Amino acid sequence: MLRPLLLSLLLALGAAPAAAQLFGAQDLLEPEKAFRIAARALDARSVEVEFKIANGYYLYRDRFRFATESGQMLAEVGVPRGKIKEDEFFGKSETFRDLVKIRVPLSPQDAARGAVVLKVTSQGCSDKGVCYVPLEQTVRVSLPRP
Amino acid sequence: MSIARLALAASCVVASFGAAADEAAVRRMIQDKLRGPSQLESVRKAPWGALYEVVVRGPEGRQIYYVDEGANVIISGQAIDAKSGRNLTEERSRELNRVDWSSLPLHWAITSKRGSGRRKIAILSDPNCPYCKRFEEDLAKLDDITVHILPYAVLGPKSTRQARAVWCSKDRVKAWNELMFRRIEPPAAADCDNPIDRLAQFGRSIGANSTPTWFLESGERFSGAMPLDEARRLLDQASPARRR
Repeated sequence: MLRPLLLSLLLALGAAPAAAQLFGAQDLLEPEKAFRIAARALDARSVEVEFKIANGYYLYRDRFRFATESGQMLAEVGVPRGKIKEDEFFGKSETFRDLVKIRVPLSPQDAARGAVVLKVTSQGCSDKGVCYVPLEQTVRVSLPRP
Repeated sequence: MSIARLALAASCVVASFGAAADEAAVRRMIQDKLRGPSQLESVRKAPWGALYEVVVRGPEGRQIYYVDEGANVIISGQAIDAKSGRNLTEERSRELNRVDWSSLPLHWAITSKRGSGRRKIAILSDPNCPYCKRFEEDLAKLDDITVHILPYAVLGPKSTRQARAVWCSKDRVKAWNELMFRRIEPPAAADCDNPIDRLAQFGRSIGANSTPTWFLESGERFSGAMPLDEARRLLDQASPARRR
């Protein structure tokens, strides 16, 4: 029991980088951990992408990008309304905290393949005083037959 | 109340039993445990206490662990000096992540100097990063400082366009500050020869995945809009003494 635990510990920590470089914030999360992605099929032609956002972190609504594996951008994505953040300087922006679920409709061609690989780009910040460069994550979803 | 010299806020995992008590044993034990792309970088006696310090290099950076002399226990956590409260692990980590100041592409920086310019800082900054703005506003309150802004346009196409236009302006310092502090768009066309793409490459090559990322003359590297008092203390530490 101990051995696998240790391995996962070393892997997890060995891959947890920048923390070391961050001022007094050893607990600042790597973007993949601050913005955890998951996806599931809603039906034969649409997928739901979900971000679990760690406490103290947020994502910008207008920075999401969805593409298929081939790089084809998906335009008709139903990103819900975020919470409006009024910044006297940067103006209004919509942000998400905690959780956001996004419905991604697929083209008939993509849906016909029975599975889809999505490249999802997101961008967010931490209340601790940093913004992350856009993060591209890949999710693979099996689709039910129509 | 008795105070231990060193407090370890840490989690321990028992690794194996009965190994020999030397550096080579620590090295072997860690090598044996590492999987994936992570590599053992160094093993040495911790400068405090009876532990070995182990540095593991993962895909994006270094991580420090401690191992007991018997190579039985791996400790993952922060070593705090109980007397001074200094975070010894963080200080060591900063030392390990140092860059050579002279290797920074400061010829691509937008540089402003106040007073003697004695304290030097270089900042990878995106024009649409609110924390970059806050940090630069704070720094603007300091005298005797040289600020090198490396326009790191990574948060979107708008940032790239704005950074290029600033670079192509007649007065780059003025154009950058007006954009950062007053949201006045730079007037210039974004079409002159500029280092914005090369700076983005440079930042990526050193794993700068957040803004602001900044450097002191000592080569120490930091991320985030640090409170001004703390930043000032670090600037003073990293700068040559004031000449009178």
